[in-house]
Amino acid sequence: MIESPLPDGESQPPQPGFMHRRDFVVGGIKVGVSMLVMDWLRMPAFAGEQHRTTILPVHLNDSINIIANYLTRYTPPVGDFPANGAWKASYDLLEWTGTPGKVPSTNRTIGNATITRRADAGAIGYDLDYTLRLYGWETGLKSSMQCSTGPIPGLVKWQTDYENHSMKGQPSSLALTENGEHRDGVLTISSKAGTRHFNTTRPVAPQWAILDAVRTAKPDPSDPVAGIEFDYLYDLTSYRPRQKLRPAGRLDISLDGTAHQFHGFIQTGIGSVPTHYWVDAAGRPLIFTGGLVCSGLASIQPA
Amino acid sequence: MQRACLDPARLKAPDMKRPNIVFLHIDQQNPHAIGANGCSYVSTPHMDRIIGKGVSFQHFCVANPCCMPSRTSWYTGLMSEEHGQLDNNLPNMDPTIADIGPLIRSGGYDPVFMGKWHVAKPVEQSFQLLFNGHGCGELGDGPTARAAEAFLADREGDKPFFLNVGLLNPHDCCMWGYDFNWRGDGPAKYSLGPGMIDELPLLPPNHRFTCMPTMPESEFSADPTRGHWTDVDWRYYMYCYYRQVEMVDAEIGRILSALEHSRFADNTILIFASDHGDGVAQHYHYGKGSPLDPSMVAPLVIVDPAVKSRRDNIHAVSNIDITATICDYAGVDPLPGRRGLSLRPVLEGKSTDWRPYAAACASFDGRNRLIRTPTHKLINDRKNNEYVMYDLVNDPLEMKNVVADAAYASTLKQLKDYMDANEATYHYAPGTIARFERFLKKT
Repeated sequence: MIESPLPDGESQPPQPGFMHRRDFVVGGIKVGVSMLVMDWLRMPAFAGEQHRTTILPVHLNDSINIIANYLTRYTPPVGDFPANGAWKASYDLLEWTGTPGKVPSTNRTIGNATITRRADAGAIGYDLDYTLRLYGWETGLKSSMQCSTGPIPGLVKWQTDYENHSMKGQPSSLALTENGEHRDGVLTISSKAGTRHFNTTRPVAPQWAILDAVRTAKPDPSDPVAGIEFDYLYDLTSYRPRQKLRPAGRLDISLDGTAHQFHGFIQTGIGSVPTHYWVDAAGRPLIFTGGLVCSGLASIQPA
Repeated sequence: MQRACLDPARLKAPDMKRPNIVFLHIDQQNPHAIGANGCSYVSTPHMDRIIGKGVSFQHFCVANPCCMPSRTSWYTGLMSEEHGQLDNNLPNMDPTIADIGPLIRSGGYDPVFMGKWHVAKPVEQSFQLLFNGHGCGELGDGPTARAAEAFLADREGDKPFFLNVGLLNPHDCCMWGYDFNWRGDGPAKYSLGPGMIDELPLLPPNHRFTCMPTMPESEFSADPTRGHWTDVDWRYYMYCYYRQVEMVDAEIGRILSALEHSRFADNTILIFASDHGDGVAQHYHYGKGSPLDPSMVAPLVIVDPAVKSRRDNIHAVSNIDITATICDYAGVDPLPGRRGLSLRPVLEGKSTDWRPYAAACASFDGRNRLIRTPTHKLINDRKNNEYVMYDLVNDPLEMKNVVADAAYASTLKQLKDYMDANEATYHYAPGTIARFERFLKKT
């Protein structure tokens, strides 16, 4: 066996300023966006950044600069999430396109996800209708989820119907229905392709439940949502254990000529590149960005 | 040219129940960024499981550490210089070169494909396409894995299949590394949260060693801007790379589970490989393309239900051997004129006349050529005819160039002989020599 060439190497002292605020060049974009990330936790923010010449004095937080083009034409939806907990929210799924050294010309909308929340006695229900169109193939996913209540709603029982077909008429269509439950410390996912078991006593949340959780969480380490270790079921099927949310700071942004103040949470854990959820002052998670996956809230309706 | 080691008695035997073959490949996986291979920064229970079930080749050196040429090599059994695809930039593959898809179809298999292909010809010419890949693993790998699950569950009849599943991650790290902050001074999405710095991996001991004194580091990478990265940038890149490894591991787990629960479990050969590695901050490098081991060496595990798990430290394996191995298991004659060797006899513990080295070219334009044995590596820079040699046993991190060390004189001569003798057998693809000549004239 070859020894790993990645042993615990020599210790690297932390850099004095490890948050970078980066100016960026946005020539050609009609920017109506200005953002400033405040260092909410009084970290030595920006100490050590290297300012360079920029064409336009525009500042974006790096977690959302990847959708700068989308933000230039993004108008937040009208309305709030109803207080009775029953609502339907729709998100645009955005493609992060880019070429090294160039401003992205577009963030195409490559799909959408509509999440309907039901507040039942002692439980939360979510229905998801998700469509993704990539390279001539359309993936559809519909799911009905029953989740526990709590700072981060955990899946109790769910069913997901998945279908995938060519938009170019190629004779191929694949369908799969998954049933899942989390009971007595065991997460079970079953389909015609077999059954998978994962032992976990932590809540197992889909992304949509995390979005719901950050709606009402306070951007404070003492908020219960920031202290919970949970598991994540990405795409409602890929199990990623040991996640956590931590406050990400504050973001002031002007969208469509209107000032918005956001607070954010960062999800990290096994299999998760830092995923940012940005919530406006009305408790609306308007934007969330993963590694290359970004979404923007398009509409809210009472359910 | 050496030929695949085939047992003629097994070829197309009418009473033989030929195995199904699943070729599960991922993209840009450094073999040492896997838990079972000793990496403590990453959680990869499913890759670990594959390694625990199969024969894991420790000296799997790809023929070209770049997506298109590497994939073309494993589907054709030819070196980059022969199929003509030297890099990702242009579709330079000789269009007359046959790949394994039609061959195995003619041998009675159903060749099916889902996910990333990235060979310079339409995948539909060679395989039944069930789901196309996407340039973002975070978006496309989940649907690809689901497509594989559905295929394994729905497959009817007894006709053997050759299922190819191309997952993309951890390749998303390429996008991560690009200067998508549009200035080129760091990873694209640089938003460390409070406390995250304490979770970042430490830089590897060979982070600042390049050992190619006359070649600028930028020659090794798609992105010369990385020189602007701070140590924290590098560590954050590593952190995210490991998370992308974990992403694809979860998808691998779904496919493994579907295979294990299928009626094909006992009669399926699983070949698991990556098209190349990733720098993971070693040698001041992220991404691929480098002739150094983090790019050149990739994981390769073959799971044959009849063969016990082990690690193979002996054989110098290349991805040109994949096609020959698949042909051997399928019982079809290998493509004529291909230089790959079947790994099946190696798995089965039979004696083979295995070549002592794996050959390759690297650096996105074939500028570097190299010979790698399980103990040493010789790199030649075609541009200025510089040689660099590493003792991989005593210096596995490639931190000391021993080419001028008299103690290695005989090894150096032997590796040079291998290099020259190997290239003397090449049938260069149309245009390849001209490309080299144009390239060499730049000096």
